[in-house]
Amino acid sequence: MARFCDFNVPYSENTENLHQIVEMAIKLGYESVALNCCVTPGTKKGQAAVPSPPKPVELSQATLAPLMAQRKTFQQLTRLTAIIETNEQKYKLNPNNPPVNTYDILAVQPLNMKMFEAACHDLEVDIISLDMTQKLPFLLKLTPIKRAIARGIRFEIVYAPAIRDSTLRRYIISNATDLMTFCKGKNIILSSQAEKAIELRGPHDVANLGVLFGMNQAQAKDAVSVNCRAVLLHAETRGSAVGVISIERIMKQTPGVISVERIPPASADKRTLEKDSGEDPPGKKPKMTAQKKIK
Amino acid sequence: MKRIVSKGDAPYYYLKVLLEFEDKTMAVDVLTFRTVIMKAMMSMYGEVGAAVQIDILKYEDKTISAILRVAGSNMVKLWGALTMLSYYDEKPCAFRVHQVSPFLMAFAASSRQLLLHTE
Repeated sequence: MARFCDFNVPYSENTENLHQIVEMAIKLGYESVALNCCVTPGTKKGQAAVPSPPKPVELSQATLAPLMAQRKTFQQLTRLTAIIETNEQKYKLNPNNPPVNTYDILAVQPLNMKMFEAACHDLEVDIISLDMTQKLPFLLKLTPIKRAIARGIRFEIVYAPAIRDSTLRRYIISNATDLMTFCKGKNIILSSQAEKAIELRGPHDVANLGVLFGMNQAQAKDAVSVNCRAVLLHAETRGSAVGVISIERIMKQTPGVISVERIPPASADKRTLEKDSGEDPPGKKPKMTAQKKIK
Repeated sequence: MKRIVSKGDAPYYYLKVLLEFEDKTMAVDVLTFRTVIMKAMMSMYGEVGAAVQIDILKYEDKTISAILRVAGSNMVKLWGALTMLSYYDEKPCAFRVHQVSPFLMAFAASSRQLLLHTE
């Protein structure tokens, strides 16, 4: 079974409080938390747009002992949530930029329709987080959400504000059920955003909240376990997508002799060709030309 | 030995819950405990929610933990209401739901804290 994750523990300088939250998460049965840094890129001039990722919380052996007894490990990740409103802020979020790519998970919180569509269609992010504690500033539409699901992006619902205050609860329930009509319960993660340890809830309780939001039992459980793992895997592939693929067709011509025929790529990309020829073992090249002449 | 076959939704669900206050010295008696649950249901579902029949089968005031019984159709409601509770008398608190099962017998062991003895 996939481990239980809480991918939204707000990072603060108050280490005492943060420590309490992480300890409570372990006590409740989470095996993975992500420390979340929330930024609005490009608001302060002369400063780096994105701060460097927070250091993991140091935990004592005594807190980890119950996990160790069950042969489990505890994982601490870092997550960046960028609040974006303009195109300029969007470009600051290039996943190849040094401070951005040091985070494990990348999330965006779009503030208007244009940015929401951009996030669903072409931004390289793992999570789209909407501020559900107020009336959404735009209408959710099926097309961008479908596209985001096809690209493997997850939508986030945070539950701690709902526990804190009854007005926020009303908004969160209405927005979450709204989102659920489009997602049909798929591609959703539930996370806490707890500011105090007492606001955190156990993974099974959170899964039950998912049922209240309109998912079925299995989907709700996935929202705190399997979908979180999928976010992590998505984050890993995001970093490794800078590469070249070459295809080789291997044909058997005469028994005992295997010849290699190259398929030129559809678009004659110079880099691809160069890399291909660079990888060629020097002994094989004459054989290939010889065969082409025979044809 | 008698064999029991259960089909469809169970008539009752049992929940093993623990009420946790931020202030660890709080003492709660069974009537207050009942009020806490009522208030939680009330704030989440209003009068209709408060009318749901919830039985406290066993209560332990040392640890403020109890075993509740509720009709199967109201289980999700009760669980959700307990999860959403955050304050009682302006004191921060939280319900920890340890186990949920359609059978009381299941509380004899907890599958969430199973230990594998591999040595």
